Amino acid sequence: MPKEKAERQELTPELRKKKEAIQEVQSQLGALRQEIGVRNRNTGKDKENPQPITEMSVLNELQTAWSNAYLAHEGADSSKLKGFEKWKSFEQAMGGEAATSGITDLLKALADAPSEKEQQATDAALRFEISQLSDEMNAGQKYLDTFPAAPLSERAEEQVDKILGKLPPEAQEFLRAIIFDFLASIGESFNMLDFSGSLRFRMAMEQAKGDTASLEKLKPEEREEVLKASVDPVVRSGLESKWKAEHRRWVQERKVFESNNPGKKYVVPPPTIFDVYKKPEPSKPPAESALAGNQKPSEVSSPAKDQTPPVNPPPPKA
Amino acid sequence: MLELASLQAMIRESLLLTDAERAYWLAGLARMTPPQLDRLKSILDRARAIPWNAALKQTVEKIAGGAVAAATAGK
Repeated sequence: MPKEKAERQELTPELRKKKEAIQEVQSQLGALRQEIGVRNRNTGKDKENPQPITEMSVLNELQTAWSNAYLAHEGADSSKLKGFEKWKSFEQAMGGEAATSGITDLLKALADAPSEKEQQATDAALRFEISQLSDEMNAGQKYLDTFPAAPLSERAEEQVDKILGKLPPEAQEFLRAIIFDFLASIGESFNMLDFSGSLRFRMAMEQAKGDTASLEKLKPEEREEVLKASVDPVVRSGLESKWKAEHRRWVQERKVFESNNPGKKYVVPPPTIFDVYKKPEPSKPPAESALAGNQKPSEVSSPAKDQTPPVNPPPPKA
Repeated sequence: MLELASLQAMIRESLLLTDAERAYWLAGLARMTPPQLDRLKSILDRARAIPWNAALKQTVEKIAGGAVAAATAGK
């Protein structure tokens, strides 16, 4: 009997048990997904934004990871058996069934979270606040120059990295694949630009890092107005698409790099919305540009030409 | 009077900060005024209350527990 077949038969009882466990997880994930879908339809969220249902993307990522692990388990050729060994390492490292319930609990917590938008805006606002505290303590030295805005996913990755360092290499590799995919999903949702609050504060932070366009050069009441103002929805929509495409490209590049260079960390920072924002495509048709003479579009549309991000005028006071 | 030890612990555990930032704030505590310390505590308190952070912290702790168990079993 071929060795691989013998191994597969040896694993059968265990495989059955795992299959049931994975099916249970998939069933729970399916139920959660349906629940989120219904909730989003009820709130009209998916009508406005068919793509960025962020809990869904998290669930998809995890379900894919679990399915791949299961398929690797089922397959039983030598390379897939290696995958199964990794899955076993993963389960052991995560504490077996506790891992499944732990991640399911996490997903439920995310699904039940009152408002992702508020959380992300709060996180960004607090980072902005802590930078202001530091700047007040160190006149002339800008906090954000030293510590640029780090998305939640990157901060969590830092913690996970420390923990992974304690594990055997095989377990590390598999855990990375699952956890970092998961964190990438969180990162994507964290940066998701359908949340005007998040966008607003990210832009405020990016601006604060910048040069003459810095928000800090504004008077407090002006800064407040800028923070309150929404970004032009047309501009925002275009930026969202571009940024998401750039971010996906970065995730793919990181995966390729990490699979080609085991043990090495991909050091290229993820693209920020501001990277995309700084290079806007001309939005005006040529005829309209001609009317504006030699002025650049930003000069036409913005009275303060060094204030790069075009924001809507402040809403009229009630 | 705010206890420095508790603020140090909050800095070390906060998911609002990167490792480099933790080092920065820990080093800077000694020269901060009481109102500044209060502000820092307030910021870290509010960050800790964000459900995203709480959920992530729980997951990271679970992984850490698994890692310790795996390392112990491997010996």
